[in-house]
Amino acid sequence: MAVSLIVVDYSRPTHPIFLQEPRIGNVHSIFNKATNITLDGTMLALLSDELPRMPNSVRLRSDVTYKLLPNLKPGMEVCVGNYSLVIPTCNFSLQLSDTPLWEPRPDVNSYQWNRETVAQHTRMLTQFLANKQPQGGLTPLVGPLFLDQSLQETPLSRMAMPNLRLLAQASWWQNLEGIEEATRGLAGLGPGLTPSGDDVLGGFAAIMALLSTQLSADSIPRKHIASKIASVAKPRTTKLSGLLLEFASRGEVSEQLGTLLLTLMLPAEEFETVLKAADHVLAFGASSGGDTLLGILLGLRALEGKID
Amino acid sequence: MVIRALLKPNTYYDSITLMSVAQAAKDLPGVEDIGAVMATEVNLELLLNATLMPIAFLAEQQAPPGSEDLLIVVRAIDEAHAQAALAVAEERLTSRGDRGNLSTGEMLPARSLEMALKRDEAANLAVISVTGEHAGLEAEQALRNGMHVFLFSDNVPVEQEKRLKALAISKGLLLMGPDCGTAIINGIGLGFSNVVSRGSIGIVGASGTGMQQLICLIAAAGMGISQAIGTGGRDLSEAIGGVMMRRGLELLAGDEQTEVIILVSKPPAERVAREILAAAQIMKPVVVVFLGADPERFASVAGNAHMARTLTGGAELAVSLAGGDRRRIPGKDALYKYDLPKERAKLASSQRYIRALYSGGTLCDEAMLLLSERLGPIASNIPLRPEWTLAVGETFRGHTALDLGSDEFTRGRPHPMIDPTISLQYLASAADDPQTAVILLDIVLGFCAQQNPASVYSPAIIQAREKAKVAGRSLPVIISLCGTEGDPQRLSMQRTALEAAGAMVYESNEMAARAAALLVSDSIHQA
Amino acid sequence: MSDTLDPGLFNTPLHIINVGADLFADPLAFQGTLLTRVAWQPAAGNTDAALSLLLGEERVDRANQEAVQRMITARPRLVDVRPAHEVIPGMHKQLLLHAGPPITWERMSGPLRGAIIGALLYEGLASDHATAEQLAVSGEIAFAPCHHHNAVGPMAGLISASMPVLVIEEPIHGHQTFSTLNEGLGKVLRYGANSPEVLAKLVWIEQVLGQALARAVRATGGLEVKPITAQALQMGDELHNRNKAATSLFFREIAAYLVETGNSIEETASVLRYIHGNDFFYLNLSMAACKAVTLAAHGIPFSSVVTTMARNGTDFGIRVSGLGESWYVGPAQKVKGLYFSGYSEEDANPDIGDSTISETAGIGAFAMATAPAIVQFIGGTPADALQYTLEMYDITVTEDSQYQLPPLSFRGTPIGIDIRQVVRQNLLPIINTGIAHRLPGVGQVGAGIVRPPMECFVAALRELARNIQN
Repeated sequence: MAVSLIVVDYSRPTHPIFLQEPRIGNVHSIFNKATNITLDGTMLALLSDELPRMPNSVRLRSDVTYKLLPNLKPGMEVCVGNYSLVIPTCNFSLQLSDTPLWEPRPDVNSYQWNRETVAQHTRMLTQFLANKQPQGGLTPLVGPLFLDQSLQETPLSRMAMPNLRLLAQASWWQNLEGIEEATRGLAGLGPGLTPSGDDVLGGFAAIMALLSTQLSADSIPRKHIASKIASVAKPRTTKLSGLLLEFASRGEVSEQLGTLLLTLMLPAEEFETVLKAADHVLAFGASSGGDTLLGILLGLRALEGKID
Repeated sequence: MVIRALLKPNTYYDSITLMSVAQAAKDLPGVEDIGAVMATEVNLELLLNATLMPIAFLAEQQAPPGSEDLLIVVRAIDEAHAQAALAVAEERLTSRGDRGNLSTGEMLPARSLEMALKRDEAANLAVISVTGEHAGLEAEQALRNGMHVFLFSDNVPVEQEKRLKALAISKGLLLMGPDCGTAIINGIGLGFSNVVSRGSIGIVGASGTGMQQLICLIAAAGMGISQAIGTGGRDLSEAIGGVMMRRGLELLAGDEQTEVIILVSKPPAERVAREILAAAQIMKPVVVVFLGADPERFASVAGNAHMARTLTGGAELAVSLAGGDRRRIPGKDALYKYDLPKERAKLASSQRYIRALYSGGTLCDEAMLLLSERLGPIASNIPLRPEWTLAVGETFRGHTALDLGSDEFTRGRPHPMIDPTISLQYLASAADDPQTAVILLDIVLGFCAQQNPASVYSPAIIQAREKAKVAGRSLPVIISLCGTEGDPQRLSMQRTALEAAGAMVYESNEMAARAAALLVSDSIHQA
Repeated sequence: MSDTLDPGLFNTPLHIINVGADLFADPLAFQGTLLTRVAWQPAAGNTDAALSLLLGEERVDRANQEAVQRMITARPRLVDVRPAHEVIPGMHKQLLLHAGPPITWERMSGPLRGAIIGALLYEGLASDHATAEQLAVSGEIAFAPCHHHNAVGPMAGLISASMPVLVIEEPIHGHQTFSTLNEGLGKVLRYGANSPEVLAKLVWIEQVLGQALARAVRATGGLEVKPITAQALQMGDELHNRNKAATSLFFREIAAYLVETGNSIEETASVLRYIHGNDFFYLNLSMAACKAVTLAAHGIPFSSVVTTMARNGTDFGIRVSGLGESWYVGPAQKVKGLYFSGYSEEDANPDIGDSTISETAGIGAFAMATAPAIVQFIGGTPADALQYTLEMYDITVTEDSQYQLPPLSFRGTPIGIDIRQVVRQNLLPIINTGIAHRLPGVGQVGAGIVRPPMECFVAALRELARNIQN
């Protein structure tokens, strides 16, 4: 089964990996439509093109994915470099030669941002997320955090709630110690390969990295906060989650999240487009999308300086 | 209730899968809660907060699980349900139903120790609590099969104990007991035991509540226990010759984690005490508490060993030697945390005597020793001197200390540490007696002990004090509360509730006894 | 410091066995230790001292291993069918063999007495019931357990001199064992019936069936029994109360030889029809083979493995490998089971027959897990059937991998009942059995399960302990 020219697209941060001399990585985890590959401390995601692009994704034609994935086993050797990826055990290889690059950092600088309208979208999104009556993960905390709703006490919520508040407050006051403490309390928290706490941190860090210059009420950029979050969280969570946080801290996010962030510059009347984009984010994972959105909202609120 | 866990290193599932697996397992009968998470630091904390922390399971992993390892934990009503839930979870995860029902064989309860060994060939410790007449066979079989034994059963003939201990020694095994109340091995509490972190202080004890008091005071100082080895109350008798204490001492001497060793016993036979002290001349500091034995008597043979007169003294010494802060133990400094002179002043002239009601034999002994030094004769069912024995039908006589956990009170009913009915009866009659100046009683927390003693003692104390007040008396109640913050009953919660009921609560039994003595010694002077 | 010091305990995770109160086990479970709970109860008959002695004896363990190895390696072969007096050692015209431990006429139950009268009539030693009974009482006729002559018989288990018997040869340990041919259901001698038609059938068995089988079996050159049993166990037989599959398998093995060696088509057809029509035909063959298996394990000094369990309708007796020829007896029990319509427990005779040799050899009720089809006999479910077999693993020395039980993932049958564990766990072997009517001649009135009386095992245990001490 020697297959080539099967890559639909790949994301720009993975490019340097393919430029190098070939080196050996391993299959890390396998899902229905995706597999992760570890390589020199980073991770490549091979995705079916039905899935949205990720900052570290190489997307394959779905039919190829379906043939490949059942044959993979964790730990299998993968050889990556010189514009190719080979899994010898499965007699699988792919070439990247003419494959298009995808940029995971949304082009926020090309637009005009208005704090007022973004604030309105933020209110709308908050209500929208709360109305979904989310279950699982940290998303149910949206009500208690922003809408004065009562908190349903669970071990998860008890642990997360004070740290979420702290994260937002410390970011506004640029209190790096507070950020570190909050991140410690959230990194790696919850089930899954990308635990809920990390999803929240990811959304939050993405806002700090991408929009703090444009949106903070005090006009102070807070990109360093994003880096702080990623560096504190990385050793405390799963490899994949740590890596995605690192991307987020550089403003590199999944396709849907990028789209959502860009819709925030639309005029207030176009809120439906914003909500539709939010819906796409929500559709990701069981609670991952919701948790990411919660992080986004928390970040936007923090930039307004209106966190109590 | 049991907590069971499953660790799948380097295993990755998305949260949808994990949540649906958790849900499926949670819906099974007998399952209380389940968690399926990557073993990140905060997730472990999360498990702890959700009462899902598989402490022993994690302790026995070669390397602590990390963020790349999937940890599935279930809390269920019993072993069978927990295992069933884990099996379902695992099956769901692998989603291949290719495992036969091989486990059916394991589900039948084992009906003998040998059959239990067939179920778990790695079994290395037997906890035996069958009636004394049958305990010998069970202990013997466990030892023959190379298992260490924790033998709670009492009424095992001394000859049998001697034979079994010889068998244990010949096989390099521990026989803790017979009549062994507590032990902590590898961080696991056996019998009546308190929850304490692991640390550098090791204990070998021939006294259950004596060990519990030491452990709780050490925990109060923020220190931990490496191992606590019980020997059974008769080990230091002439007949047994202290074989298990010496074996325990040897083990702790060779244990890397143990930096300080405490030996505790009621008064041992003279010859045995000397042998033990001779064996205690090792490189590590050894603290010896032979309750009731005059340290002067052993001064010539104590050598390097540090002799302490009371449990609190022993704990303080050990904590200091282990590099801890002895002042964190609520010892002498805590004696006057209540306004004792004021309490004393409120007593009526008829109120002259201490009435001590103990469930822990050693705690009772220690109290009697301290009280008799200050007050003279203490009547008791386990008197320090034969002439102080309570007569048949006599409830109290002057200063009185009762061991309500001894045979004559427990025959045909549970031990007062498990069921306080008998203690409450005596509490009421002590309160009714106009000669009673102060009631001193112990409450022992920990595994196996009653679930919430304050909930029964507090109302009883309030009622007793009210009744005395109506009769024109003030009735101080002093409680020797032996427990730790980690105990299921929670030390602070119990203390708060008991203090709210008007009791004076000491964690040091010595201080409780001294406080009681202070309340009456002066009233005698006044009288 | 002592060199026997155990450095291991503090560095080994605790695996705890709790013997006694759950009060102590629950906190251990809460702390997450690996915990096995013993559902403890005192040993039967106040035998702690004897148990202490025997459980600690390596000689007993070694002897038991030897005993079960002999059972497992035994290779019973059906080699012939011959009149009893020609092959059974010590058999003669005035000797009647019966099921179970020794018993006198006075203490015999109805079915056994009925069978003895029938046998005397069949042998022509008496002309009618009255003279037969006089003869039985007279002392001129000797009675002996089948087991004393290496034979076994179901229910009354009667063997008289002229009856054809299956001859099993065991080449490895070098002995022969015997059993009668199965008479089928209805009015039959083994249930104490002795009417003219019963006797007529016995004559047909002697003159037609016995001889036809004898010719056919000889023509086969000998039939290995264990492979047939092993296959039948995978086809839903437990080889005591259900022998349907085994009988069919035997039929396949023997049919062509019967035809080839037959006297006439009519006669051969009658023999084949007879086997075909009797689902229990294989039982007697299986029993004789089981006897050959357990006999191989008998007589090993110090072994506590049971080599005989048998009942005569009055007493239940066991013999133990290391205890020679002594029987340890207790009262035969009433069978718990399902009664054919019109009958109840009041009609039932106490437990009777040598067929418990099946359980002694590890099949029958011990293999109940594989025979869900008959669990209704005991008013149970297939889950109960599993439980019965699983329980038996706890009182047996090992598993016989030749006999695999599909519902237990092809685990071998439990084999080698150890009296030590029976007494220690207060757990008796379980036995599948038919139920005889207490009056002679009525026949089978039901089927069910029964357990032996504990006193047999306690008495044997005490004796073995005495022997060990001396």
